[in-house]
This record gives sequence, C-alpha cells and structure tokens, in this order.
Amino acid sequence: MSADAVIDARDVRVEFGKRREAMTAVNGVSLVVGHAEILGLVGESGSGKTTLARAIAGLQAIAGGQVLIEGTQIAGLRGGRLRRMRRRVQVVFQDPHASLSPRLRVGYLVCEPYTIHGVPRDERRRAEELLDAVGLAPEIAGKYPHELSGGQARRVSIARALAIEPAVLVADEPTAGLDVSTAAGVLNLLSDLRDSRGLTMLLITHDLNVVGAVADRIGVMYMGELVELSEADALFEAPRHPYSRALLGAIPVPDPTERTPGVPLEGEIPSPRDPPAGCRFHTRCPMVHDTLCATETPALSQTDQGLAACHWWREIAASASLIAEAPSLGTRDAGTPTQ
Amino acid sequence: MSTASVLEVSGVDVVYHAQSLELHALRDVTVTVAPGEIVGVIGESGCGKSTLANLTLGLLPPNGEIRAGSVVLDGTDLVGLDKEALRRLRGRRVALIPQDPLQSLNPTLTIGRQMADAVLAHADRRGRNGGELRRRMAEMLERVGIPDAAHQLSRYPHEFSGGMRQRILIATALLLGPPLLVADEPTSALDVTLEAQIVELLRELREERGTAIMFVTHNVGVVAQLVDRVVVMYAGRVVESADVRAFFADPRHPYSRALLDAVPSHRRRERRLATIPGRVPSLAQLPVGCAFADRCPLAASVCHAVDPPPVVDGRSVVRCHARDPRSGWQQAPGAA
Repeated sequence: MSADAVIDARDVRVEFGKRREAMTAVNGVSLVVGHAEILGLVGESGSGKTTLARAIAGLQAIAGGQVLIEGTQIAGLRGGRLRRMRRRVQVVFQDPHASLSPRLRVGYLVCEPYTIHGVPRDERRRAEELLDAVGLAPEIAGKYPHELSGGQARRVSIARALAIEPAVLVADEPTAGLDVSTAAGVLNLLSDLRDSRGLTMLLITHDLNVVGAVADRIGVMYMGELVELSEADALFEAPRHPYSRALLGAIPVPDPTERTPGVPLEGEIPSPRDPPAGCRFHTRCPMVHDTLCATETPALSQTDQGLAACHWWREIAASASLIAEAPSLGTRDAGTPTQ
Repeated sequence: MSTASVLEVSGVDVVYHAQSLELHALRDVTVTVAPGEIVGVIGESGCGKSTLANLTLGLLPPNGEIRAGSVVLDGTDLVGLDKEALRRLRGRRVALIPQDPLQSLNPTLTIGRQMADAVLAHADRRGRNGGELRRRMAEMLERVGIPDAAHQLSRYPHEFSGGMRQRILIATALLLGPPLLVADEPTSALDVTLEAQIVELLRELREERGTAIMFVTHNVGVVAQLVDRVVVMYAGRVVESADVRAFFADPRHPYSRALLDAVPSHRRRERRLATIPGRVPSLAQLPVGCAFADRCPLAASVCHAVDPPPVVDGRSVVRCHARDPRSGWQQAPGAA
C-alpha cells in the first residue's frame, strides 16, 4: 500500500496546552491515502478532523507519530525544505473571504503562490488558465474579493491552491455557507480536478451528504480518534461503529413520508481534557454493553469491510437495521473483546 | 384556511434603498401560517427569505420600506406601527430563534439575566416579581432539555456548548408564550446529531403548545422532516407554496425541482450532482418576465416577456407559465 501512498500518516498525535492543561486533539491516528483518491473525514465539532488535516498539511506541529507526503517525512522540516514540501500539499480554508486579502485583485491572489514559492510565470496567462480550471471567466481576475459571490470566492481559493500544482489538496468544509446549487457545483469541481489532475484529496466536513457525494473512502473521527475507516459505499450501507451509525441515522431524510431513522444521540462530545475511560464513545453509545466498553479501549481493527474501533462490531454487523438501538449482545461473553 | 391565521402576509412589496438603487426584496408576497403550523421557507441566498422573517418580526432595517400589502400578526397589522408598538408585540406575539447561538448571547451576562431582560423588554413589568420569573425561566430551561436549570441561570454563555446555547435561546423565545416563532436557520451552525435533537425539540414544542413556526432554512432534509407546508422563494417572489408531501412528491415549479435535485444525498450517490446554471438576478435589476427564466430548463418565449401570475390549485400556489392552463404555454419538444 505504501508504494502508492501519497499521504501516509502514522500514529499521529497532536496536543494542545501544557502539563495539567494539556489536551489531546488527535490521539494516534494512522491513515493512508492513495494517488487520486478522495478521503472524507467526518465527525462532530471537536472531533479533531481539522487538526488532523492541519497536521497532514504541515501547518500543525505533531507531538508524536509521523506524516509522510509522497514518502518524505514533514515533521522537523524547516526553511526551504519545509516550503518545498508545502508545495506538494495545498489547503483550501473554510472561509474563503477570510483567506483572500480584501485589498488584492483576484488575478494577483491566484498567482501569489508563485511569488511565495519562487516559481517564474507569465502571470496574466496563468491566472486565466487557473480561473478557467475552476470554471470562472477571465474577467474575474480584475475583481476584488468582496465583489465575488460565495461560490466564486470558494473557486478562487481552489484556483489558488492549484497554482503550484500540488499532489494533495486539503479542503476544509468546502461547501460551508453555500447554497445547495452552488455547493453541488463546487463538489463537481473537486471531483473533476481529481480526475483531470490526479489530485489526492482530504475532504473535511461535518455534512455526511457532502462526503457521500464525492469521497471514495470515509474516515469517521470521535474525540481525536479514528473510529471507523472504510469504503464510502460500505460505510453508508452498513456502518460498523455505533458512532457512524448514529451520525448516519441523524441525517434528515429528504422525504416527508419517511422519518429519519435514528434516535438522536444523547448529549454532546465530552470535554477533551477529561476523556472517558475505555471506549471514548461509551458515554453516549446507544449500544454500550457491560463494563468492557467502560474499561477497555477498543483498537481500530479489521472488520469484514474496513476498520472499526468497537468491541462489538460483529454483533452490529449481524443486526441489519440502521436504527440506533442496541442489538442483542447478551449471547457473547463480555470478557472477550474483539481484536 | 378559514380558521384565523397566526400570520397573514398579503401582497407585500418591500424595497431596500441602497444609495441610488432600489432593491426589490419582496414582490407581492403572500404567506399565511395557521395556528400550530410549521411552514418551511426555502430558496437561495438573496431570494428574500430573511427579509420575510424580519418583516414578520417587525425588524426591517431602516432602509427597508413596505410599499404595499399587509402583515397581520395574530390579529394586528404591523404595517404602519411605530417602533415602540412593534417592540411590544415582539416576544408576546412572535419571537425569534436566531441562527448563531453564540453571537446572540452577551458573553458578559449570565443566562438568567439575559432571559429576564428578554422578558422585561417586551412585557409589562407589573406583577413580575423576580422569584416568580426565575422559577418560570428554570422551568422553561428544564423543558428544552437543560438539566439542573435553577443552577444554570447564574452561569455564562461560554460555559455552555453550541447545542445548549441554542436550547437556551429557544427557551427564551418561548418565555412569553408567543403563538408564532420565527426560526432563521436555527440548526445550520450545529452538527447533524445536535440538529436532530433540536428538530425533535421543536416538533415536541409544537405538539405541546401549539406554537406555529416559520422555519427559514436551506436544509431540504430538515424541511422534509419538520414542516407541514413549504414556501419556495425566488428573487423576492413566492414561486411555489404547497403541503410538504405534495411538494416532495411533485415539486411544481422548475426552480423547486432544481433545488431538490441539487441536494447531495448519501442515498443516491452519483458521480455528478445537478446544479442550477447562472445566479439569482440582482434585486436592483430584475429581468422582464419570469425572474427564473434565464436559468430555467423549460423557459419558452412567453417566460421572458410576461411575469407569470400565481396559479392557485387547492392548497398549492405556483407561479409558472408551464403550470398555468391560461397561459397557452407550449412545452418545447424534448423538454423534461
């Protein structure tokens, strides 16, 4: 797998704060993303998905583990070597208006990465090519960011990220705040860019419908840990982790004759400064069972269709319904956790 | 509906004055909300959803002018009322559940203080002793799912999570028992799990109290799950209004259909999502004819010349020549 790995994150840890105040935002996450693959990262606010993505983009120092981009480790790189590495990974930030300087014209903004990375270019021609690649007319180059609509600003951010031809595009909530039709256009664009340029993408969102539309594989995060990782189709059809099930079950069904299947999850994510013992999800898990969940942390392990971190994934797999109710778990000895 | 409506907006034109321009934010808008009814208002940004919400709350900005029509809220026409009279209606006749729970709470004041302020600003001060008010606030917080409420009143907004803050705002909106709530994208800042909790709460509150809700959103899934009737706005007009089941089974207006088709769903994973070409026209320079014609897959020559009048069919209203038997509109061969 590693031969083809564009992103190879191994046991990544990110910590914020010091000593007593310390909290672990990302707790030992490993994942591999291949060439021209789109990996979606989902989870509630505070699950660590953005922090993990920032660590992968080299924007966030890591406290443990390794991040390899095209085989090169990025932790510890400085100066020119770090800058060269950053050319391979570009980020499209969540709020395009906050990441585009209001005083500069679009034509300059999309070519700014050339200046930063010292790449010679014919600015006007390149700006037009880039804008064309994201479906914008060349006239846009003469506008200021405040003259752009939300969808246009998002496309300009993407054009800018494409300028120095990265291998990896990290998109943080690329459709937040956009109207449905505009959002659909941006998602189509990401899909096209993957096909035309062979871009590898990490797509961070809390909207499962968005990842469902474009991602090949989906990673589900909870309290800084990856709790499930599998092919998008498999995840949507039959999630193996109760948290994934709860997330999917909470998506409102766009059909008034059908009720959203899930019983809403109780409560909210616990404080990351004081994570629950055992499985971090056990305090909210509708399938919490016995003392095992409260005492032993389930490892992210192979299931029939991917990876999941739940002691009870086999029982979940055996119960067909997506409804977030506890399947009968009584038959198994609680003392034998799934490895 | 023959029963008295909580809200009856009829034939309203609203214009915003911006420098030398006039923006036609609402054009001949008619919307009614029956007691206990949940009406979902959808449409892209710039179609007039928020203007309709603000109008209902008597909160049009100073550059907004109501050119025509009436806004009858629980028996009182808001048009022409002064600020003071409007302030007195808010809270008791209609209340707002805002979009962003954090921005709507003052970080330097306790929850209890802010809830009390909301009550005292809109209600008669006589007969409101502090203890009685505190007890009612605590009860309301308990009702919206905040445990140990009496204690929580003396805490500050930052001590609550986003979902809890939204619950606090819902409790505050309910304190004076208004028959109508206006909810402006109340779940768009929340995660899907919290959104599901809030939708469930609003559904329960409607059942228990018969509170009607005007729910402004762009989330089609929430609309399908929560509302009784859907109002679709486009370029300042109501282009379609229908019962939720009829709407999802057969959206009549081409814009409604396009909106539903553009929503990504994990249930029908497709390589390409449908988009609506072009953009909402500028409200300062509306085209002649139907405002949607330039983006419409069905548009015929009549659409570019004549603005379609509303076609009423039972409980549904649609403004589209293609749906109007009187228009003599001919569908182009091969069009959907």
